Amino acid sequence: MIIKIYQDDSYLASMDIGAGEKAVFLDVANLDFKDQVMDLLEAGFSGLKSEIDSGKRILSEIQVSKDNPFVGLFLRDYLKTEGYEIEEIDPEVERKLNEFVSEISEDDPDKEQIKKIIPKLSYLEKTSIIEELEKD
Amino acid sequence: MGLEASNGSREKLKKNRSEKLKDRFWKTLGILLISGHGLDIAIKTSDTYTWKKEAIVKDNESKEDLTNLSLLGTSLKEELKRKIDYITAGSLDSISESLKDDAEKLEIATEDIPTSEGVIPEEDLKKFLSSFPDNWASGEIRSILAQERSKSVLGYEFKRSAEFKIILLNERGNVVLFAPQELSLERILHIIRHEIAHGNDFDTDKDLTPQEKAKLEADLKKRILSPDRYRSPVVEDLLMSPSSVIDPVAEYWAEIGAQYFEDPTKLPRADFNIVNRVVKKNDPKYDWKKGYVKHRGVSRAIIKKLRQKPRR
Repeated sequence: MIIKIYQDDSYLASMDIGAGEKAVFLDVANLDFKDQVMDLLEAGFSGLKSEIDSGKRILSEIQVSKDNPFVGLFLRDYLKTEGYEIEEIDPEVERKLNEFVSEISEDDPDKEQIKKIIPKLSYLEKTSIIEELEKD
Repeated sequence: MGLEASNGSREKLKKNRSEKLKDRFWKTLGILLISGHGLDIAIKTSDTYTWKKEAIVKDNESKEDLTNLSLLGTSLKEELKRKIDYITAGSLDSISESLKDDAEKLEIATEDIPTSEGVIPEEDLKKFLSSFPDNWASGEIRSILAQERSKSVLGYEFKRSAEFKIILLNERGNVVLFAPQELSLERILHIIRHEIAHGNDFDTDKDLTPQEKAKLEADLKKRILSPDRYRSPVVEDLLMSPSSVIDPVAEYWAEIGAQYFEDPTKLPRADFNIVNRVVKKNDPKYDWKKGYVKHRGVSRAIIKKLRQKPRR
């Protein structure tokens, strides 16, 4: 999974978090932000964990280190709670949509329009469209 | 000649398939947008805010409805964001005026909740709780209270409490935020959404029949194993290190249930459908887009209000 990070509508950076196990910068528009994230990864940050204590289910806040097997997912959630806007891009969803676009003839005027619309769609819209396209 | 005819047929088939797929694309997008129509009225902004009209109509059946909408050139995500931005531009009092009556009638014991960014006043917490569908928080949750670290929680002294920075407990509809003054505001709002979803799961919900509960559990069991499942660290951690006591399926439900209110446009369609079905069973009149704009708008307004104050 790739996450694109924004603050107040300004694009800051893109990171590859895999299936949640990593946090690697792919593109950086704001170097201060990158430094902040690198510091966070080094120092650790907070995340939630579901646990049992005294026979009761609790949700506790834990310290997440860069070696945590789900560091990427924890980082995504931490940034959200700090007020950053996160856009998630699932490579498999993108692949399916690209496959659909490639089936449209080059001389079809819809093709350009569809290509422009797809990147603007939400994850819910993209997966809804795929669900419909795969029906047969 | 035979080969040319065969090539021609293949081309025709390809073109037919392409047309069919395109129709589905435009129709799905149209349906998603059409069901959002009426949001202006719902949040009473139609007279003061004019949406940019950029209807690009591709689906003849939907033509009439689509021309009434703000887009297709933009997306649902952008449409919702603009409306939320608009309502959060005002003060919390004016934004949540429509929630005032519901908040006053709310039968959930609440109090001021301290956070690391300041205190959420009880009145605002009640408005936040009133922005959920009927029978989602009300009727399922009895109390949302904060406790000092030094005190026991509902009579329990946690064995490992000294190691925990924060503890939250949900027992019989009582949600206790333990030392919430150490939690960020957005994390507390997420936790409350998560715990309220637990109050509506396949064990606890008062509005689902036994058959509906069984179907919910079965659907979630399929989703949690699906490669395109909603990824949450709370659940992924349980899948990697299974607990004999905590049910990852119930946690999956709580996480997608929280995300449905936090931002449903980030859910996979399959998970969205499951939560939406249960929400509609609780509150048949609930419209997810109107509900999202209202809930997100009130949440953003609470955050904005606290962040504008000097921090402690």
